[in-house]
Amino acid sequence: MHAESRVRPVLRPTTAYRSSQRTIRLGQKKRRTTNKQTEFFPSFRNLRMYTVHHDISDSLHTLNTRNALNTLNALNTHRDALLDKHRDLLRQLDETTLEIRATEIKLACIHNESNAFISRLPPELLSLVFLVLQEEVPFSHFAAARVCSGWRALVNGTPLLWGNIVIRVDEKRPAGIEAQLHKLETSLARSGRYDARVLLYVYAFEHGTAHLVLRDELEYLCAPQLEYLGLYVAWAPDIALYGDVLSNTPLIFKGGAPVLTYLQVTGIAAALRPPTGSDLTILHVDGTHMADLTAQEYREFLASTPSLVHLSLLYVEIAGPLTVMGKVELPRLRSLRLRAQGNIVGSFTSVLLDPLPLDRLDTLILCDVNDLEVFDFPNVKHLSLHFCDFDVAQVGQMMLGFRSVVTLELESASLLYMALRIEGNPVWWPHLKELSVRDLDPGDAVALLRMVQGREGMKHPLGTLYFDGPSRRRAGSVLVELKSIISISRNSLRDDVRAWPAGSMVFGWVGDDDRTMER
Amino acid sequence: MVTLVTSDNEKFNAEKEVVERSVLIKNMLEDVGESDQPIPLPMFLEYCEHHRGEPLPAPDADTSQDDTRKRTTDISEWDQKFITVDQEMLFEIILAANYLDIKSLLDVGCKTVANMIKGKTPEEIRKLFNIVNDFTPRRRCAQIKKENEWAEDR
Repeated sequence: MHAESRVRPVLRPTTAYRSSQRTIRLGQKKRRTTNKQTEFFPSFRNLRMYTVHHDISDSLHTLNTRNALNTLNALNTHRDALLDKHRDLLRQLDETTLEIRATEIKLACIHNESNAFISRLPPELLSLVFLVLQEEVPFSHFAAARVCSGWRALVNGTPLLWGNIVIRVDEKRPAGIEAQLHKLETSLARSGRYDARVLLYVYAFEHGTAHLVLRDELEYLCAPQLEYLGLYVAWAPDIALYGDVLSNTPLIFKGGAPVLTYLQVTGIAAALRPPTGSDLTILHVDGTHMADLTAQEYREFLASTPSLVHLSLLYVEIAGPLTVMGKVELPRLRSLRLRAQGNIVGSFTSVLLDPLPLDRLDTLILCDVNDLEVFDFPNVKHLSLHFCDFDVAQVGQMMLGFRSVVTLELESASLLYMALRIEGNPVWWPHLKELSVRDLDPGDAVALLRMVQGREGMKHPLGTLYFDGPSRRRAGSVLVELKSIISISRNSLRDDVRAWPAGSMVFGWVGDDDRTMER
Repeated sequence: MVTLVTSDNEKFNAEKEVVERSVLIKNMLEDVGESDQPIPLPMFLEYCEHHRGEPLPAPDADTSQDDTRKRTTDISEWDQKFITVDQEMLFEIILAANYLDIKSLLDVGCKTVANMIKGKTPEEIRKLFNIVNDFTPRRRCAQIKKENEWAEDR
């Protein structure tokens, strides 16, 4: 009430007041018609107070709205200014952080150059250290590359460190196939173009589609310095179809691998159809899971390797008709390693040997071969027999077929010992000079002695007898007698008698199936 | 006899056969001929004296990759004792062996350093050689991270 008397004189009726009175009249008229709602309508006196309050409220509202807008605008401007400042400070912070880091790096570089004694070594000596290290611990240069930027640049700039590439595709290993292919590309790029040889071993294990993925990824790859290539794809229970094998049309490295000299293809890897060419001199084929190889494909594949010198066939079987199709032109072929499946029959051997120019062979290694049929090896000088069990007829055939043998390596083979001491004209294997015996059966010791004595009597004596440790022990009582006739050495035959530098020498550090030859 | 003078003017007399293990000195002697002129060089006599009589590498033997492939980190017992010195001296010996072209001593030095690195993590190598990590964060995050994926899975 008091407040009303103070406010009223300064107020004049306004349009809003008249309007509100009209509204009330309408309300009164309404009251007359609706008596039940009387208590909801104010009295006239109260109505005046209400309308005055309402009027003040409107004015204040207008005023407040204007002020609020002004305040809002001001605050917005202030906030924008603060945001700008914040951004600027953040930018400055970033710049300062970068500057600090750059300074730290400069400091680190100076520290490394001046305080680390090893930094006194010139790059060529430090990279020599890395090469020595890598020889002892393959791939140790990866750790070296993560020491500091200087070492990293040196490691990346030393092609010889990147020449040994091993790609492992295995679902159980942490680095996926994408990472492995990145490794391949990086290594190929860093191994230089012409100044280093590259050795690549692709190893896929427990991966049902590895051969398909690898085919896609390797298809157009160019590897101008790739010299040694090993492809091993293990069979997996969920393996995808891999189609034909060992066609003479390569499906990978279509960009070129012009200096590829060594190729090792194992099992399903044959489905990758690796490149062959005029430089390929060493070929090792492991036929495990190579189930569909036909005689025609085998022949065509050999024909695509015209410069082949050393050939190794491990567990290779021929599917389909075992037709004989004539010789393949392999003028440089000198050595052959052949390991048959345990249950192999002669006709398989025939198909494998038939296309080869056997008269050119200088060295032959046979493992688990029990039947050579009637093949002639007139120029084989170095013969190595592993777990071959020839019958009398086969031994007779061998006496005829191998006329030039100079060095013979074998386990116990009493039939051969007996044959070699048969007197007659001409003498069997007249050029035989060195005999290397592994794992001598004690029951064969006397037969061996008789053979050595017999050759002595025929004026075609052996020059040297090589015994391994067990053979020397098992020779027992005949050892003294043998020593009186022939020079006995503890060592085996020279390494160069082997058919070719075994794959284990090249890919030894990734585990090579060639070692199975030694059993 | 040949007179060797160190950089601080100390003189050593040594037999020609001994000092000629250094290809550099051998060449210098050939260039100088029979002369009393002293040849300056750092300390290496002990090593050469011990290895006197051992066959020298062929003059054209280079450090081709085949040669490198045959290296191992095996070091003979005497060489190991000889090279058991602090890092500063070790790298001085390597530098001297390189300068004097003494292949066998250079090999021993490089093998020793390789043995020190062998089996260590980058961080351990840094600590061993007092090296500070100077990789920029960006490189650490991108290229190196990608390479680490396969480098650690060898």
